[in-house]
Amino acid sequence: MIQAETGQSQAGIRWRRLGQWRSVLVAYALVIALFIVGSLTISGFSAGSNVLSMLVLASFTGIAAMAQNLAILLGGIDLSIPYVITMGDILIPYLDGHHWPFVASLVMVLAIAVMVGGANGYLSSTLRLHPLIITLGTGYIVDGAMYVLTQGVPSGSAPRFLVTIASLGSRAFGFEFPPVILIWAVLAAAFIWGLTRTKWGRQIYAVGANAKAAELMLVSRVQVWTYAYIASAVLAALTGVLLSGFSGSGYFGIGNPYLFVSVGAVAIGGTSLLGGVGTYWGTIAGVLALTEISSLLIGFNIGSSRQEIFYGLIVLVMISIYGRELHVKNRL
Amino acid sequence: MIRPVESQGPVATPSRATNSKKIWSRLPYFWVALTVFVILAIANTVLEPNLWTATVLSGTVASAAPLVLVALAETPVIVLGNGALDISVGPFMSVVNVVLVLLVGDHVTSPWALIGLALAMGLMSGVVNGFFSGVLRVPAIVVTFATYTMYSGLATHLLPQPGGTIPGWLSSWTGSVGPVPTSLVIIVLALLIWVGLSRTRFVRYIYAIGGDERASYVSGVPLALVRLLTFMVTGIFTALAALMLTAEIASGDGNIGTPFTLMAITAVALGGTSLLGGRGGIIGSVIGAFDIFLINNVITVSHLAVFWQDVAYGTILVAAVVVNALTTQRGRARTV
Repeated sequence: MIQAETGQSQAGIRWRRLGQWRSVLVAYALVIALFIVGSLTISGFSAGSNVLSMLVLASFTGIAAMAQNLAILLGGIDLSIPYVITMGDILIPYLDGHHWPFVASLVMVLAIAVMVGGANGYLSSTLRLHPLIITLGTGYIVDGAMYVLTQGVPSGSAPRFLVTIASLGSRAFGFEFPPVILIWAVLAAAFIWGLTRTKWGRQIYAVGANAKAAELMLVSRVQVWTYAYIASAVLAALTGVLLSGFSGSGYFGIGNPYLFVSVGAVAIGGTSLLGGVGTYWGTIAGVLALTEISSLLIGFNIGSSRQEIFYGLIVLVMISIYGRELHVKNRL
Repeated sequence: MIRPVESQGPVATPSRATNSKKIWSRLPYFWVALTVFVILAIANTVLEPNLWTATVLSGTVASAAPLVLVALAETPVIVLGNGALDISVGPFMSVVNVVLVLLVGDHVTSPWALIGLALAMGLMSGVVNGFFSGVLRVPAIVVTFATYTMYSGLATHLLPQPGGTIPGWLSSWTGSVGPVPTSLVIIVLALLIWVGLSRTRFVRYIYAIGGDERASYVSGVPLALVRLLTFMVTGIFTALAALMLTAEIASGDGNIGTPFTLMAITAVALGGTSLLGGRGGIIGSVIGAFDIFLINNVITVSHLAVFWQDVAYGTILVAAVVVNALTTQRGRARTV
């Protein structure tokens, strides 16, 4: 992609930039359109309480999608995200039940995440393995370790202040909305800033677009992969920690839905699954759109089986309209 | 794109091969899976000495057969490379299972009708996945995730509660023909079909695309068509796996297939097929599937807590893939 641009005029480059932002704009238009459809067809869809609960759910998805966005910008994928989320969600209440102070259990969760992410990034980049298989393997190990630790029965409950932060009805610290939304907003701002304005962020784009060219510019592929996957795992673990506050106690499989939703949101938001192209702005739109769709389907009250059918169908149609990859002849 | 620069052509191979004439460079790509298989088979024999009697063996092979067949089905798509894979296989097996049981409930029991319908469904599913990912160029992981969601909804929608029966001819698939387990006959049959296919240009094209997409495009390989056909082949073999699964559980269950997606991908990777595409094959996947089955078996017969299962999967998977990557040559071996 970088190769292709060098031969083009300034105007050409500007046009390509516009093209990238166009898919982000389309995604936001979709968010607005879905909101209008929801308000017209379901009473109470646009009510403040429903909007807030959608935003709370979107916060968890949004942070998980941040994690996935990092992996996908490198041209990889992170399948360990759902299991790391579950790890955070189970370990925080479990350690709380064993009288660990919250800070200690948070450090523990993040330390495990750093190890998992480090293994994911380092192994798949040095051995040139597809990250899908390494992240699946480490995911199995993390998930299995939680089963062994809890003997299959999660115990304990989340610390009270986490519940205040993340539960649906809470209005804490002087805000008129659950604080988890603010956490997402702050993380998102930091994430966008980090990706576009710092050396580390730009290195991720460089390696994702063309690893060979990046190496020639003395950007170490292995290093970039390792820290990006560590950041990905840490963000996933944070999602899990917040989710334990949302549900009050730990659940196995709580992370599972986030795999599809995170990849879907990133793809709908215009990030190429081949890497190097995309923004978190687009991913936010993808997250909001997917949250609206599931809220709509719940609102139509058609039962969970049919919800799944329509959800898959809608994602398939949306993604084929503007989530398509370039033909190989345009990538030569 | 994470495709290694060295592996893009066979040019790089000679220099590496000459300075490292290691024994393992002559071993087949699935040697890690085979080693794991031998170790696990010994462990199983020690823990369960009557494993090798005809009845126990045919039962064992029959319960491993659905996973073996779906791992076989998953392989061609993964060989296509660039992260192509079919996630929808698991829930699709549930859909076939549920439809079969519902039809039997409506007194449709003819083998021709049921097998034909199952295979036709597999073909259709392959057309859908292949059309969106091959022709429209939507990333396969997103397409098959969408169909995964649709199938799992569809299966539980059609049959909310597990139940139902299957005809006698289908339950006999878990038995044996003389001393040979019937399920083994079916697996060998599927392998033979693949060996037949692999003599065609079509399968060579699958490996070509997985090895180097650009080079195959400029050499005139019809990318979209080959991708579409590959997903169709995967669909048909998955339908066969679903038939075998239905024979094994002898009833219908809308959630029965879901775990098979990850197990199939794990089996393929264990078997030495690269997820970057172009390398590996179905023999490895079959061995990989037996590995996974034997891991479960060892855990069951050794009375180890079932919670260790995922840890064992993960550790063996990561270790096998790492050992494979460290020892295999970066050249391209064309294998069945």
